[in-house]
Amino acid sequence: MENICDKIKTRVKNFDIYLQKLESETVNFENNKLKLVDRRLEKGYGIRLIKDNKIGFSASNNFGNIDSTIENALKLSAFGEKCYFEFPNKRFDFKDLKIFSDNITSINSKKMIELGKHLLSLLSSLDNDIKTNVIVEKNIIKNELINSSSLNLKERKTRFSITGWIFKAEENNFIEIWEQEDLKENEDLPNLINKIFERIKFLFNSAKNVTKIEPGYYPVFFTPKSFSTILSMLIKSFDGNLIYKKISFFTDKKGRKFFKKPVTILDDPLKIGYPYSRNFDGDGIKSEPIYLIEKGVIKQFLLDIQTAGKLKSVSNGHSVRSYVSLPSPGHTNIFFTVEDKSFVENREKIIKGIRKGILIDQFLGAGQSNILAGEFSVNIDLGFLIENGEIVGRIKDCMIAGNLFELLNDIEKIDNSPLYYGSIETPGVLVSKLPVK
Amino acid sequence: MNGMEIKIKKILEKSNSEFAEIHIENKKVTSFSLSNSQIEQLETKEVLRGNIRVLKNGQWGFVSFNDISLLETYIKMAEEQANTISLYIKEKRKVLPFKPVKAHYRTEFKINPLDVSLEEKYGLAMKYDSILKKHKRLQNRKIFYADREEKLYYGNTEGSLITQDKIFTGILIYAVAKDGNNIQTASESFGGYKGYEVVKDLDEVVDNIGKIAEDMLDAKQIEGGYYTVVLDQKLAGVFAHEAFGHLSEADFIYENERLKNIMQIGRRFGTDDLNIIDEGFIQGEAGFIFIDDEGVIPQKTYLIKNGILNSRLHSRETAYKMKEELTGNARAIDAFHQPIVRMTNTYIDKGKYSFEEMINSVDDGIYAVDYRGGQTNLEMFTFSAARAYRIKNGKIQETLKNVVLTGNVFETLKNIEMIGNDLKLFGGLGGCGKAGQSPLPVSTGAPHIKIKNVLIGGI
Repeated sequence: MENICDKIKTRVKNFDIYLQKLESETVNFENNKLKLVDRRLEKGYGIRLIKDNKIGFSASNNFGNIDSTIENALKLSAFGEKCYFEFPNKRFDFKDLKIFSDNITSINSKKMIELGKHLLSLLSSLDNDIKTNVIVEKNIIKNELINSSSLNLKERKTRFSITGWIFKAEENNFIEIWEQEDLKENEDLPNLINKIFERIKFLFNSAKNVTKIEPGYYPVFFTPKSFSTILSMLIKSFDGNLIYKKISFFTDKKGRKFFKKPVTILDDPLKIGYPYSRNFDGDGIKSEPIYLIEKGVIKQFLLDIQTAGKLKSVSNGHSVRSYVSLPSPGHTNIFFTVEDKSFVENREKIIKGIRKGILIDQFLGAGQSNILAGEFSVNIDLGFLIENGEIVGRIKDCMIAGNLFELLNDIEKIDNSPLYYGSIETPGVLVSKLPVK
Repeated sequence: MNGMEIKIKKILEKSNSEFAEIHIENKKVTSFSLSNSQIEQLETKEVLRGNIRVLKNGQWGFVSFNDISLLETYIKMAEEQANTISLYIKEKRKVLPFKPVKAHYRTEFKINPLDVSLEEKYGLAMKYDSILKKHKRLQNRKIFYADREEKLYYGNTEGSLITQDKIFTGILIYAVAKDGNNIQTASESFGGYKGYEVVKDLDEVVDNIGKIAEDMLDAKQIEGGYYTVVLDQKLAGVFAHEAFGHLSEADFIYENERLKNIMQIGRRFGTDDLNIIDEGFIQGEAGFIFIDDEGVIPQKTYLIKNGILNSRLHSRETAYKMKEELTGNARAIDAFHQPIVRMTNTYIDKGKYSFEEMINSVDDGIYAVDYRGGQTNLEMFTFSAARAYRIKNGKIQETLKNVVLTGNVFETLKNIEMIGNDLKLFGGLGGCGKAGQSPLPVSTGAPHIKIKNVLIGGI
């Protein structure tokens, strides 16, 4: 790293270098048996520099060609985007976010195989004819950022996740169910496996009976899994870039009470022990939690230093970066809730209260709709009919459609068991009515 | 032979695995986007990657890396992994052999994008931007350009030693129209293993994208329900890929007896006119390959021939297990990933009807054009049309928005009523995703097709 730094210094005054090192080990079980242990070792760097107030960028993972990488970045800067920022120089103390764990680094491939085998045997016991895939993944990541304002930040992270997937093909009836868990602080591995198993078991057993639903408007209960998909579509509109371009639905709506219900979306990079927690962002800015929506009011947008500059604002430390690309606005750990206790109820109780409605757990084709306008129309990959408070069977070949922003206004209840999927933690959510086709 | 080939050959000669292969790739990418005349995200990167995969004691081991000076260490690591797995699994995996291929391949192009100055590329994007600018209701105009030079090395223990020089060029044109809270988009992407010529001379197309985005502001909301639809070539191509292509990938089937019974060769899936083909060797297309990532030469594979399930797509392992022939469909998005069964250029072959005949035959239905995306869970598929038009009494009428089509693969194939005579293939900058490997460059295509009873979501 110092070597790269010294070389750039001789050519240009303002720059930063982002270095990443990744070691990953993945154990794959396919079709009920162990298939492969996959190891990856990767190390690379990205150079961002400013020349004549324009940005040049080049990346490589070949440490033998540092000179040509610098040369490329310089060459590109002649055409680069106008620079709207100064490299940060503010130093800050790191919090112990518990994102690096020696317990994780010490899990070897044999232990990972044992864990996978355990989940596989549990899932396979559900039915003789299902095919099961399990992925056990361990990542050790090192991110390092140096800039010309003497900032030098380093952070090590470990991530450990387990994914279970079952598939059963019957004539005219295929079923596919997946579940994933990230190992968080203070959680033990057997518990992780049990959680995956229990959720898949519930869904699989509920899907044994296949039933039909007439098109119409129904109350819909989204599990945390399906609601995290809904939220991932919504969060796109908080990208500072879309705000700058005035193509986000929330452009000019900052500070407005946009939602009738007290819905809150928090992006929290400092959540202890969470997979996307970090002390600094892709630009080297100190991480801080921000509310995207607080009690229905549009609060903040995701900003990196360049986008913040364009918006004549300051960065809130929400840029994401990998060594191969320039930083861009992005989120870390997202938390959704409705800030009114009267909305919260036990999941069983919520379902018991539905006379006729549906429960949705997985979508097919989410994200293909006109998300900028908040419109969505998706196939229900895994959904169930609820009658008189009971799940009566799986519904197939149907879709739900609606508007994301209106959907949040129609929330009636949330449950008290939030789950974390990908990067989003949300409870299950009951919406009063949505068109089912 | 150059240094890299000698190195690969030497390492493989020492291997005592049943099968071993080495991939090394060096990719140089230049990309930028132009947003409302301002350049953004201008980047170059040069990425060196490699992997070693071994089949030893009947099990796989796989290591990927970017430090290629340690090949000997990595092959040992891969072998150790295979040995570890063999402690757990008795059943041995095997692969179908293929002839040794010694070749140097080079993609053809008219203009090497690497010979075109950045200034000229920028100038081209600015020209397209100025064309879009004439459309006053556009809130955002975006041109994304990328070119990629790939140098690929492959060797295996069968004695294959292959080098490839490939050039990929692509462009994406994206327009966002806005009127109050009404936000509509239109886009088009062109790309493939061709030169700079693929992104030039698109003035008319670019103008049309601006026009479509603006028109979409006035588009009517479609009512959800079941419709007779005519799909344009692009959407029908995605249908072939999503709805049937994935179901033909043998890695879903080879260890699944139930699915094997459902996907039995000889089973009827559609009318006599229906032919669905996967063909890797179509020069210039996004899904074009000289050779797959297991060193197998790609075949023209009829997935469906005259309405009957004819064959499927294979890797060496699935072909061995199913006692079927190799098709050359083992592909990886890059050398950090292992090859898995993937499509290349997948298309519905041309039929006998003209587009006019098809539209004329519809009393009340939908003409669905272009796509935003698609997904399948093997039994059900869904894809969204970029736009659509009502068909009334054989005539194309008003523009419709939010047309998301969904259905059961098996039912929908049977419901294809007419196949057009105007086959066209499409590549572009996007690609296909499977098992965490995305985007893999593929082309899809079809003639216009007419399908009855398709569920459309609407809003």
